[in-house]
Amino acid sequence: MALLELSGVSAAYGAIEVVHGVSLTVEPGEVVALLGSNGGGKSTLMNVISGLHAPTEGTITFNGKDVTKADAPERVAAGVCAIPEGRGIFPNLTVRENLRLATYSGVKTAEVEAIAFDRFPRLAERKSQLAGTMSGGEQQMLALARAFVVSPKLLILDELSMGLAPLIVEDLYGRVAALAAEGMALLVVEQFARTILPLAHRAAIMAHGVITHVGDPATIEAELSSSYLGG
Amino acid sequence: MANFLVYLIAGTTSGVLYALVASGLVLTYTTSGIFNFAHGGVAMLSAFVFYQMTAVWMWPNWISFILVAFVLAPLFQIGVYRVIMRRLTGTSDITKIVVTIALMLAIFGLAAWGWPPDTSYPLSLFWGVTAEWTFHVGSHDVYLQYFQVFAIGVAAVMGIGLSILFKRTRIGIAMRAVVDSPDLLKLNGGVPERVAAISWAVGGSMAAVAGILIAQVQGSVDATSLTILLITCGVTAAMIGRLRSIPVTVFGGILIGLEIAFFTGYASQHQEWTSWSPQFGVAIPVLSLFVVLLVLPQDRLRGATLSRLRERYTVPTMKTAWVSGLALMIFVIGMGQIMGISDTSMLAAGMALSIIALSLTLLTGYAGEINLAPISFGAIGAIVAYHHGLIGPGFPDQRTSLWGIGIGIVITMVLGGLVALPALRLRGLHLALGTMAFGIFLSTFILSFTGVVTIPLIHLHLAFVGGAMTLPPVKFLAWSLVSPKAQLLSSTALFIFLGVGLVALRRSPYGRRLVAMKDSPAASATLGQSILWLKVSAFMLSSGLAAVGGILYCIALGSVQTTTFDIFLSFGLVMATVVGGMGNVSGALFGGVFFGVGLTAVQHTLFNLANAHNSWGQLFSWATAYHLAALLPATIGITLGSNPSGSISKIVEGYRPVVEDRVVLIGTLLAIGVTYAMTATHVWGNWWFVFCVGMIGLLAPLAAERRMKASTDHDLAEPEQFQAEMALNS
Ligand SMILES: Nc1ncnc2c1ncn2[C@@H]1O[C@H](COP(=O)(O)OP(=O)(O)OP(=O)(O)O)[C@@H](O)[C@H]1O
Ligand SMILES: [Mg+2]
Repeated sequence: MALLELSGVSAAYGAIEVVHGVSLTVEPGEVVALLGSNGGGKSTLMNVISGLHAPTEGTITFNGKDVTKADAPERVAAGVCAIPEGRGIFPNLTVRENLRLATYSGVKTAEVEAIAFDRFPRLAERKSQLAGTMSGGEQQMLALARAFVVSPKLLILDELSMGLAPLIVEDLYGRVAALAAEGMALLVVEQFARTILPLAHRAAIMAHGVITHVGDPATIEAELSSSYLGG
Repeated sequence: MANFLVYLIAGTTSGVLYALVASGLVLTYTTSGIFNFAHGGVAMLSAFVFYQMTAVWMWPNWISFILVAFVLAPLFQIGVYRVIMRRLTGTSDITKIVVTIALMLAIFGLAAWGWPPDTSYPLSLFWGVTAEWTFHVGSHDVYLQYFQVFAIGVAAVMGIGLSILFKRTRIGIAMRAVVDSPDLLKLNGGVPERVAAISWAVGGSMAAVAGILIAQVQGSVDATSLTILLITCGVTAAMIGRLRSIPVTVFGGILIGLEIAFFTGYASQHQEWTSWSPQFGVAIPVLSLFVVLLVLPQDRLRGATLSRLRERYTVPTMKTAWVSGLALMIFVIGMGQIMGISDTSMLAAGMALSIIALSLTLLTGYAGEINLAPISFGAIGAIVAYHHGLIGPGFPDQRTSLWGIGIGIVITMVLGGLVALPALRLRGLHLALGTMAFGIFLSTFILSFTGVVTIPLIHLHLAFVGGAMTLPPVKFLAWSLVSPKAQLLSSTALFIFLGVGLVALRRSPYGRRLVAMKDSPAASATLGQSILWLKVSAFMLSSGLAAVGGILYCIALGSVQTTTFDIFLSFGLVMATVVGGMGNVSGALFGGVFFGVGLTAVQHTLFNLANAHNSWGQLFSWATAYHLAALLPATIGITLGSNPSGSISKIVEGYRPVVEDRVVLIGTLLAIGVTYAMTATHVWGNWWFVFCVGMIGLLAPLAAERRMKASTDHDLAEPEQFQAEMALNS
């Protein structure tokens, strides 16, 4: 049984529909890469899955339960963790205070800090700093730390690499690979196909609000170089 | 030395209570981004409820205190959050300010309804005034009341508790997080609505505790003075803390408490100050607020806001503007034919208020800044005109000259520029607070000197001699505009002229620059515009408009007192104008006329209907009619959250079916014609006319909508019928 199953999901801003009847599944422990051009509706779809944006049509099943009507906190409780586009942190809170909010998942404060600082020693050095004053890479580490702490069933990443130097992106995706190795299911939106495809079990291309191709990473890469990157 | 200790103790006691009010303000501002002008109102209402429980129902102090401060006030605030504040996400600063002001006015209406202002509501201290410890300092006795210790203790516990809540608890951290991004909080598993509701509840408790205790210090609950004190002291302390830091806010509150205690205390020992010192309680925090505004560092400029905001305005063409003006003139002339003298001068006053409201169209609608005391700027114009523009022999042949009006306008513009300059560097909220402080300062301090006060060097009299001022009619070229009808028509003509002028201004390069600045200060600064100069020029122009309106308003009213320029009246006008739509001249017309005439008309209509039909008498006594009507604009203002562009455009939208449906249109016009004829021939009075036209106005769109629905239903029904017939035939 699929961990996440979208069937016929549409989403709109006001009267403008930007996601048109998308169906997609993520199996337990599977890493799915979602690629596609700008404005294709990927972030909107991610927000629909995390519960921030209500779909206009279709159903979303997670872990065997229909969660179409559930709001974001309920989905967090069910085991979805999403790190949104941009920096997924609170800039005016310190690092520790940011981590404190991860305790909504039920993990104790001490444990949260132990896990986060163990994985990202850099954050321990900066625990009393305002998160917004850290470098972009450090901010994304903090955002990613939440995934390590919460250890959700499904982790959604939306363009972790945005605005970061290639070396830092590589380091971050090393961490992501570690999460995947622990058996966590991942749904990753990424512009840089070359970074994510080696990690992925399956990949999909989204354009103009519909998923045009789904397949194994190699075929998708071939598809990309012919249609999307090439054209 | 003994005096010093007395002032220190008294000042600290009030100071910690101001700190409590201010911390509550900071709390709700940091968690919701809403600066709650109604905060002081909640404190005031709590004091009244406490009075009711202890003095009327004779409940024990303790139970009442705990019940009001920790049960009722938080519940009230949660209700306010759920019904009103929650809907304000994505609206501009100005909408937020206006909605909370509307709420404050509504609370005022409620308080005046339950506890009419003409009675006094004495409240004694917990344990009484004489429960105290005595210390000997030198040869003097110094007293420390139990109450003072209790007040300081409660405030300290609440302050420290709030700091711990903010810094150490998850809910407190979530309260600070939710302003940055409610969505991200949701993704962490938090529920933003719950977090915000809790912060509003805590804020309510702080307001209630402060309100009840300050009312005890004052000795009685008085709606206006208590609220003004709480607003000025609370706002100033909160600004000292830059709306961010609770500890600095607490420091600010205590500072203001001490300032007031020491100034008032020492001033009361000197003969020449005694007439002034009672006003220090308001004057000192207001002056401190100006100092704070002067020294506050400038904020970073905002980027584009247009995409996030829900307010939208369309700019009319010049032709539309002229045609609407003409229609207005015809309408007013028609009304002038059937109205009596007192109604005519009331409408003239409403028209003058509409001109004051035009200043908001320019400043707020175009430039995106807000002035909360437009009537106060109008007052400056009127006072200057009174002192420098009177010509001719004494009453009743005296006239106001155009020269006097001109100099009134110029001085108001200069003063407006000076008042606004420090705040304009900052954000919209600061200008709102600065102008509000100016209005309060003017009405409670400057205008309270009824003797002649001359400022040296400038030789301006800034006082109402003998407590009232009578501004005579205008002399325009050879004509004296004496009769109410002449005043009404001239004010209307001037309104149309200025309104069309504003539309032209909006369409000019200058107007486009204003709007560009409003939409994105950062972008227009990079385009090389001097933002500050643009803002100051807009503020000065709008002050000039307010001055014109203020002068005409005073003339229409005849004799004016200091209460004519009460800050709450300015709030009411601002609100009515926002409800009408700040971005359009029609909004200003609605604001002025609704505020100046509509309210009174609704009150009179209810009252007269009640008189005419005895059985209704119990339903609408004069007092209830008055307060019900006063609640009306507040209620409309509160609904602004769901329709931030104002109601007028929505109403116009609603009338479209009427215009398109010939039958309904002709029927409506006929009905209005008949009521007009009945009124003109004195079959019935004017109030019936107002009432009937109001009813027709309400019913016409409904009728049109019904007919439209019926006809579309019919269209839809046809194909089915056709199919059914086909089936029968085959
Ligand atoms: N808040 C919003 N209001 C209105 N339209 C929006 C909003 N957010 C996104 N859109 C529109 O929805 C469409 C899809 O946007 P979305 O952000 O989902 O695309 P995306 O695939 O994530 O793009 P990118 O790769 O640039 O992040 C775009 O046309 C965008 O303009
Ligand atoms: Mg995106």
